[in-house]
Amino acid sequence: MDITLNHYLAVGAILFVIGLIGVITRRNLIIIYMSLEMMLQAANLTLVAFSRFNGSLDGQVFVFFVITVAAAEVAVGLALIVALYRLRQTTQVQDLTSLKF
Amino acid sequence: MIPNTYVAYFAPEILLTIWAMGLLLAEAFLSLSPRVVAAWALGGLAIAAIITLCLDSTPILFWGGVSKWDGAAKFFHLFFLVVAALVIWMGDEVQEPVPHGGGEFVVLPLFTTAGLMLLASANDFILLFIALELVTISFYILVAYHRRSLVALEAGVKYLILGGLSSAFLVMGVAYIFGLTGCTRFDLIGARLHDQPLPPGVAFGLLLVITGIGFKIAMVPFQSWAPDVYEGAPNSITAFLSVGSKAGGFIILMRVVLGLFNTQAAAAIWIPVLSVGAIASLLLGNLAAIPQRNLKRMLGYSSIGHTGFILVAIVGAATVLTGKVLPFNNDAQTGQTAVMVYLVTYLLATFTAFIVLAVLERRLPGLEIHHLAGLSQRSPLLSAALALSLVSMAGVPPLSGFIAKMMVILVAWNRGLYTLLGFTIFAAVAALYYYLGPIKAMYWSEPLDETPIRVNRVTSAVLIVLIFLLLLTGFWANSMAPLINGATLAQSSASATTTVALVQH
Repeated sequence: MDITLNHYLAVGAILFVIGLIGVITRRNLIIIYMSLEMMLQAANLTLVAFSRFNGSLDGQVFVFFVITVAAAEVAVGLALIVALYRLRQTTQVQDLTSLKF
Repeated sequence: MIPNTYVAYFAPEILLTIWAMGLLLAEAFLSLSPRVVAAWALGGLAIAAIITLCLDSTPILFWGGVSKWDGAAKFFHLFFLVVAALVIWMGDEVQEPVPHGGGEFVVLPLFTTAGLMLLASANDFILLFIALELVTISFYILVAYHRRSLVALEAGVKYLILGGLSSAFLVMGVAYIFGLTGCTRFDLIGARLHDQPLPPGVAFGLLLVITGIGFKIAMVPFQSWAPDVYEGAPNSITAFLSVGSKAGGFIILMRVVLGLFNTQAAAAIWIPVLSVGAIASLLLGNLAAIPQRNLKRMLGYSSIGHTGFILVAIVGAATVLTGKVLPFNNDAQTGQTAVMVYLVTYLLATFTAFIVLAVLERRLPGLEIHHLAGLSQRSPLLSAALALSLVSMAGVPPLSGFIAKMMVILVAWNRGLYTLLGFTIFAAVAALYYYLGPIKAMYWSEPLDETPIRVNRVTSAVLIVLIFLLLLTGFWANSMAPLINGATLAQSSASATTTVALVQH
């Protein structure tokens, strides 16, 4: 069986949905953050696949930017989560209750 | 006149980025006080503003077409510079001093501003993404800047998770749009899609991109972060998020839906989506604000409501919309003008309110409405400023908010958007109710503590200027005309004047 564009898109979509479900259902901030990264990687996979099958390099260039930006985002994000852990000794979202209506 | 090279058009952004990095280094090695750093940051903004004013607003694509300069880009550049100046001034002057070096707190907004300015002239999805992330990542830090405060950290983490989610949606959407059109530049994508039925994949991508932008502008159902983050962030940053980040989302939304996807086929997708988002934002924002007791939280919900009003104007700006044509300003550009006018009046009212809140936060036990009791006897200036800004946000004549709401309503009427018109009027009336709560507390309640609140001279001067502008733009709406005139998107495909300044090696 040949591997076509649709196979890559399907894998990308599945990864994206798994990530989304993780963000919605998980209760640990680190796992949520990991799921977010998975969603970004799903988008990256889709971009690379489209780029390969379109014969246009723009998508691959974009992927490099996404990876770089995601790294910066993780650096800031994990710093925030660590700061929260130091103060609150937890990374569970249900313990974040000081901002409730 | 500055020659039309790409460097000139990117000069404000480049200047601000280098300026901010230089200031961070100088602050680290020369141990400057935050006040000095803030003065330098304001100086950088002033130079960037002068450069921007020197650029004329002739539409031009530059730097290989990834960026586009037009009236809207110029308007938003100046808008963001004014916002940043107010934020940096507030961070220095009014905010309580931040422990462990407050320098970053006034330098980081420069990076955010550079990102917002890049967004304002983006003509390529890659640049759009990078600019948006520059804005968002610096906001993560600014929101959680008081890192010894649990409330600030919680707000920061919430913003982080939902901001990350919105970026993921955006990138996935761009992937599909890129995949089915083969390019990332707005004008090239527009040319591919011209006069063709919209491929389902592109429609899917457009929906994902709107979702991603929807988080930034706090459109229902992507608004859940707004009240929490608004409450937890420092006051100057809440104002920055509420005006700067939101305006950045709107210019991008306009560039994508009014510029790129301005075809009959695409409009059949985004007009219903944005209309539903507008109605939901109008209802949820204005109704959920009514029971709020915390002022910052109330303003958070009210900002969701304002998103609804601006979305109505954007839907009304769709040129493909076939609407009733009345003699009064029937062209679709009125919709774009309404967006700009709304943002200007929103800037004035929001900053007036948040400067007052920032002053009060240090003097009052909290920012609940009942803490404001009798404020008019303790500080007439603060209570007048807060009252006028709230009345302006409520859209009561003769303040500037009235002009903005009136324009949105007229756009909806002229374009034949009667459902949206009905919800807009309903929301405008419902909004009156909760904006009057704090005013009642300030003027018709007895103060618990009668000591007068002293405001320093600079803060008073800024508040008086803002009040003056609120009244001026309300009584004489034409005073905004020099700023707004010509501040519209240039249509890339139709405009023959658009030239590409390609930069060769």
